[in-house]
Amino acid sequence: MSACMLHDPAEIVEAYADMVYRTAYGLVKNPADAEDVAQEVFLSLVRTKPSFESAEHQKAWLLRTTVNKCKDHFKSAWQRRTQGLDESFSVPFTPEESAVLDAVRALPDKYRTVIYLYYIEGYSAKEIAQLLGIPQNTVLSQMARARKLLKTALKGDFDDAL
Amino acid sequence: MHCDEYRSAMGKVSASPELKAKLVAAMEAEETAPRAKTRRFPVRAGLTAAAAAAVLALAAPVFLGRIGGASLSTNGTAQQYAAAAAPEETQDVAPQMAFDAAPEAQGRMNQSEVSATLADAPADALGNPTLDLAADELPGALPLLEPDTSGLENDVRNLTDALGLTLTVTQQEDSWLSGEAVAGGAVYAVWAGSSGIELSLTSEAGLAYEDASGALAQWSASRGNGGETYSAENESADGAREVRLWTAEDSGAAASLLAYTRTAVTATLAQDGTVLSLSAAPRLTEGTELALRSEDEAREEALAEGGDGAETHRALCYADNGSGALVPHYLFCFSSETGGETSVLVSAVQQ
Repeated sequence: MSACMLHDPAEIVEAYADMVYRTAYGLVKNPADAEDVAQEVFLSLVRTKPSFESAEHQKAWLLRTTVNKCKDHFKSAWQRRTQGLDESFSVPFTPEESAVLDAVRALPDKYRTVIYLYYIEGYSAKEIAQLLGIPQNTVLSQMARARKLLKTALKGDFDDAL
Repeated sequence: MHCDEYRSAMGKVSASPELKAKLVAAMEAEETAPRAKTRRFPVRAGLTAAAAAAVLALAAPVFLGRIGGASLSTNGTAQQYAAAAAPEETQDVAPQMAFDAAPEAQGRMNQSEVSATLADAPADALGNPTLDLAADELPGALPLLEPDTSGLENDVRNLTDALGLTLTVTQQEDSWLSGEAVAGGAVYAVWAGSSGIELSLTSEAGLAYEDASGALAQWSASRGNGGETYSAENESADGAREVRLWTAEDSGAAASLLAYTRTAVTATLAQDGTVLSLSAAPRLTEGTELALRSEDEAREEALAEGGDGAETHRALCYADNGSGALVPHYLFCFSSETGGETSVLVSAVQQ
């Protein structure tokens, strides 16, 4: 067990709530659903009491669980049959930021996930592959397709990197 | 760059102090809550493992057909597969249907009673109703709120057993599990949650593209572009699977190498792994299909188009012949010149 690992709920929430909520918000598209997912993730941590080898392992577990909770959310019959309310986020995005967010939100779920993990959480393709349990080449191809879609939607390169 | 705007926007998103307080309260409440073993809603009890295997065996051709298309996704449990695919077997799931029809007849609460019980319950820190009941007192319908993952794993095992797949569960949480199911050379990523079970073909051709990818990377590195290789996968309408390989372009590479370093190689594989076609196109031109041809034919075509016929690279890949044996194929690429554009031809020859 690493000395950096957190056990106290308040410390865990303080350390990871932003990341978990931001990830959920980036994937499920609206604040209310993101709050629900965040709660599910932290309750899951308490219920399952996973054994972590390090703080990084703990963070990766939370991220993976968030992604899977979001996946569960996408697949729920309720979600498929209903349209969420068009809730505006209280943070004032610039028009350019809103346009990019809308374009990313319009991506298929799996593309949005790799784009988020790569650009926002700073994981490499190899790390994303490990995190999501999919081949690295699949991550790379999903990123390439996502960038292509974003380039079309935004009428300009999303990123120079291949 | 739009990615900077994306980072900037997402950087503004954070959990509010109110949400953090709720999360802490919820975690603390969960930690201190008595962990009574809840009686499970018998959602799966009506279908025994044996019955499920028998029913699924009848439905297996349907599943295999869909799996052959590289993806199988369902909206329900094994019972729903069974009921949809083999209606004559519905007597096997009759107990479950009887429960659905008359829960109170089995001593459980009906929906209005559950609602009334929840309405009378005290609220927790998040405003959700709480029930302080021992396991034996818990209304039969309520455990639906707490998914039974052991039952979920059983459902997945029933399905994979019926399909002849060997399941390995790699991660299991309270409402979903993920893992891998293997049969012969085929590997399926497994994901199961409240909405169903999903099997996605991940590497039936994995050996083929991984090996070809390695060969391409080696070739690419020898030409100074870093040796990175990328691939993409597609599912075609007829259920065949496309695997595409290409190497990365390096801005530092010599211009004369660009045509080669951006070479895309496409292999279309049948369900049994047989190579149906192979193609190559410079600069990732999608939809370019070149007929499968011999090494000599490809070389002659390259010469006819003004190229020097020199081989630009070759890669060894393998294709499953359907019985689990891997048949090696060589991919040969030749340079040619057409209207000043450099292109690459490819052929595949079974070794």
